[in-house]
Amino acid sequence: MTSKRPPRLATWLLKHLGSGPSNDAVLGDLAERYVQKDSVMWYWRQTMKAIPVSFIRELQGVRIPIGRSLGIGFLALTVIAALLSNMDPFWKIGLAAVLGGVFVGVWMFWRSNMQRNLAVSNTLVDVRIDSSKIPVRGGWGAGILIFILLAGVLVELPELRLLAAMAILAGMAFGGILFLWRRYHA
Amino acid sequence: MRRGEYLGNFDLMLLLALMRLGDDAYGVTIAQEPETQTGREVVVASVYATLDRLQGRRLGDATPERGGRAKRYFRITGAGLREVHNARRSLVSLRTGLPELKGEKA
Repeated sequence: MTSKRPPRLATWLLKHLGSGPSNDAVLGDLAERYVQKDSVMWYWRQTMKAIPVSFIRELQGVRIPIGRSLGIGFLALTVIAALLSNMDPFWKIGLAAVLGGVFVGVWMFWRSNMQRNLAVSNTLVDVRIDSSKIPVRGGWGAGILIFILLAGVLVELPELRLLAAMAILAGMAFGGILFLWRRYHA
Repeated sequence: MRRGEYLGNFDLMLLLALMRLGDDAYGVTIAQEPETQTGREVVVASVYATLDRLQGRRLGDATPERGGRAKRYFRITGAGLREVHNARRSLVSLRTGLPELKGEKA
């Protein structure tokens, strides 16, 4: 007997990597058509194409922040390049901390601005910790950035591994707290 | 007409599909129409992306419906109908006077 349930991994990928208000409807439609077609390859093709389509669609809806995000990306690349150059270790850490903070600030501003522009309800983004006003997704993004920056530092400064490891663990704990907060207060 | 206001080929196909399907126009049925007519596989997500864009131009309208799953029904608006007729008129006008292609029926 042939299974009529669509491939789980493809569905999971589209559910978590796809975006936009139509993502649920796309998932439903693909499941319905999969029953008719019963082709795993067709389903994978559709989901793999749906992810970039939804991403581009979301970017098209927020034209101004694209320029800002490109600027942030350029800034991040500059930071990484600076970290990998022959700079004094003290300044490397200082630069990483300052620019990391600037990045997180700009990024959070961009996120809140984008939410206003989109005016689309998104529970994951809307959940915030009242005291700090840090969006959950922003927290994860900041955590990833800090992780990258610290990894850059670790390449040339093995003596700071303990400190960096503690910082990473603290970041992960913070991310975990945000996750649990969203889970039980959403 | 401002830049970005022209109907693309896919836009036109989807608007025509909405006209043909009437009340039964949702993702699956809409995607099937151009597939049947052109024989090419249509990406369901691009159908939604295009319909969302057309909705932004008020050429189409969507109704969220909650049944067993999220399903959005679409319909063409009056402005959409006018756009389809304008596109048809333009195509007919451009086609007029052209020599017949090999194997083409008049």
